[in-house]
Amino acid sequence: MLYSLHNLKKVYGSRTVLDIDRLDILRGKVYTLIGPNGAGKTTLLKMLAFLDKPSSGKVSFSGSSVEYTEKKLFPLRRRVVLLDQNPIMFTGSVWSNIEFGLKVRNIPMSERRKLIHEALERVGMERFGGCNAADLSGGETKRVALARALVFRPEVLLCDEPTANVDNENQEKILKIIKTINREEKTSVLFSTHYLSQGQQLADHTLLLQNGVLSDLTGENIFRVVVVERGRTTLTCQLTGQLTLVLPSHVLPAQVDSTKLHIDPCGIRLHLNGDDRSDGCLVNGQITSLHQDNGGVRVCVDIGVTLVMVLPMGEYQMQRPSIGDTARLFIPHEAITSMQTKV
Amino acid sequence: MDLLFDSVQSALLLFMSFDAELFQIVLVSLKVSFAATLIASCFGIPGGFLIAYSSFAGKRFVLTCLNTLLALPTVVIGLVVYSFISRRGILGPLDLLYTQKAIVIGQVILIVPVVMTLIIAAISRIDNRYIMTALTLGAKRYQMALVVMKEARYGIYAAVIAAFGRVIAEVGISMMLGGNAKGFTRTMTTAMALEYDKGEFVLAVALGITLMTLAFAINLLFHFLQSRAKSNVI
Amino acid sequence: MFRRIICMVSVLCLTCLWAGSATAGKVLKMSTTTSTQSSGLLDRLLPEFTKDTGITIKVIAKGTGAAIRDGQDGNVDVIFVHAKGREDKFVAEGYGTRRYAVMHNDFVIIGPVADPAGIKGMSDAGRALKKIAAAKALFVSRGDDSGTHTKEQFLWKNSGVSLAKQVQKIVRKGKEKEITFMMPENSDSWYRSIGQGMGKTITFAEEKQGYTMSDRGTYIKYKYGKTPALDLEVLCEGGAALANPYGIIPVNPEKFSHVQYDMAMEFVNWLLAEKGQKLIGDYRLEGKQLFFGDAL
Repeated sequence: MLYSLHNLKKVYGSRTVLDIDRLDILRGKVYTLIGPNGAGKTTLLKMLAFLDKPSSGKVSFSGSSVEYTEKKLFPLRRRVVLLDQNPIMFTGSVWSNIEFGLKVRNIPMSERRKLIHEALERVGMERFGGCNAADLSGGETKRVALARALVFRPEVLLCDEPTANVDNENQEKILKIIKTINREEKTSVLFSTHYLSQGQQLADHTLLLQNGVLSDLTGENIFRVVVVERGRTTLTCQLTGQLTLVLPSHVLPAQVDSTKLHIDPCGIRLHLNGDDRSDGCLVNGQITSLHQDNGGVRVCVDIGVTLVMVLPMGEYQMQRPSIGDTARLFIPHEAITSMQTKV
Repeated sequence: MDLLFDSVQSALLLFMSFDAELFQIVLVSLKVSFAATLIASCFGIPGGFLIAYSSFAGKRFVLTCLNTLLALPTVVIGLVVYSFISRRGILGPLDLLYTQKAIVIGQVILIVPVVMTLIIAAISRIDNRYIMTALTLGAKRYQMALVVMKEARYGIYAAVIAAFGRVIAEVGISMMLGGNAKGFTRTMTTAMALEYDKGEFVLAVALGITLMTLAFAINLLFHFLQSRAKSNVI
Repeated sequence: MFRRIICMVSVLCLTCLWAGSATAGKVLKMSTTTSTQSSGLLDRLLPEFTKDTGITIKVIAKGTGAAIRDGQDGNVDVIFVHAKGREDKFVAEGYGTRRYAVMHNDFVIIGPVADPAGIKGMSDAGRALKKIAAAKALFVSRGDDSGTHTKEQFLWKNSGVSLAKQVQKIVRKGKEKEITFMMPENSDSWYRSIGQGMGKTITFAEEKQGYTMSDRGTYIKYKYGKTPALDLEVLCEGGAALANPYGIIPVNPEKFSHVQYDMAMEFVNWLLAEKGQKLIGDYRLEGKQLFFGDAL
């Protein structure tokens, strides 16, 4: 067992951003952590990278319990590495950036040179060693950051949204590198992504995080869909016999024609007249139940299947939906997550 | 208008004739100011880091105190230091009063808060990701501090330049602790104050022009060094 | 936004009004030397004058050089200083109408009790200075072009010690002009010219246990009016060369039409008349007479 988390909580002021009863992560596997923006993915990754400490609960790493003192954390930090969502480059060349992790570990010069060459080669940036790191493009920066993280051969690689804000070509390269180091170096990998991406293909396990809580993948709002039509920029999925959703085409790779989708109940909104957002899908249904839930109102809507949405109290009081009403719902694209797994 | 015209001409005349007294005054000013800036930086930069990166009860209070110290009048510093180093003070036997060392001591006290607050401000402007990245890549605390220092270097330069500007333009401490002794502790500002007292306004303004020219030259030099540092990143 | 601007403007106006109101009434501006001010004499004289005439005097206390310069620039209505040669020049150049002798006091040479140069009990200032120079004992000079400094330079000149003359060229009114400065030759090790007022100079001399020349008034104030008392002693006094006459000069209204000549003369006449002279002669500092009237 690589990590073992028990009753872990992280609280900022009065807000609980992470609340995990139990999570075990196995050595040598690839995990993907999915969930909408603000679900607590980054907080969890920082916790696993020993850059943040839990407000309460217990974390074990490699079988021993983690003590949160600077002295005890330091050796643990040297075994894992976290790749930031928007990696920042230190002032200096690409070479000196990659060298950093080796320098602080007092690796001798000759070995450093060899390792840096390997790392640059691995990410396909051999020619960039002498470049000023500040002049790199977004995709190149991510690849250099990956090389910088991998050069000292960490046991665990944690990546926060490695494919976000990166063009398709770079996305594929990055995922390929992650796959390779997992196979060849037996590095355990955990990476997060905030919505549908081809990344799930290479994951051994998928973790779904919602409002700081790990959700059961077989729970509510998870639907099996079949791709019925691929347009140039859009893709149409059949949810049930008569219900289809139109999604951006990058959501699913070309060869996948069936997947599970998760729809964040907090992301769904009642559609009001005059609201003409185009980055989502509109569906109609009938309200079948209403109950209070943790400061909001939980609304079940029959759209052919039962879709659950959580309305904030304010919005509920403005709209006052009641059972039996016909509701028009707006599902933003970012509330939809693909659940493709290999388990 | 006449005064200004005469003063510019006088300043030129002083430069061109390599006026020995003027050069001595300039030399004392530079020597004292550089020493004070250097010492204050040695205390202020690590001190600023320490405060910025440690969390302790009363940190806010310390910051407020530092900000208050920015408004510390030179006369107050002069008085306090004077009471320590005068013949009747605790450090009297060291015979420090009315020496360049005394000026440096006072000026260091004057600018350590300046350096510290500016350093704290410069560091807090630094992207938190630098720290996170350094830590996750395995840096020790001091190695992380070096990274931050490198990324905050322009802020640090600015702090040092501001501190230097403060001391070279300062008159209260130099007068009270240096005593304006000709050839020993007479700096540009105390010389200006003296010429004003004597009614030799032309000479006072000429010295002012010299001071400004010098400050400008030093800032140009700093700027030049900075841009060189920028182009040599590798 | 508008309201805020109006608020700020009105605060500004009020501040200006308040600052302006302080200078209302009949006011005469006088530049004088620090010695008359710090000896406390003016605090005795001026309230009496205001009581008699209703005129308030605004005193600007500076070194004699700066005080004379104030007169040359027409910044003040009258100057009250002690450097006879320069005063005469001031009148000759037309800046002042006439010099009126008001009073005199005297200078003393003070130094540490140990007296390394051995000048105790001397009355000839020139010889005393020569001994100080010969012993290379620390001597602190005003060096600020004040009346006292002028006097000190004059005494050095007559002492027979060889002097170094420093010349600085400046431009005034478009013409090159020289500023000269005299001090004993090769005196780096013992002569300190500090360019500050009398009080500061005495403090400096005390700190460094050196000699200096002071007007008697300031010395008495530091010796008897201060705790801890000054630990320097009068070592040389009484010689004719140490006399220190004060003169008062109204600024010439023909040169500066805005000066208040009538009021200035009113002050001069009051000072020279019996009442003013008696106040001067009766003035005591720490029980000692400081000034001797010269007008009656």
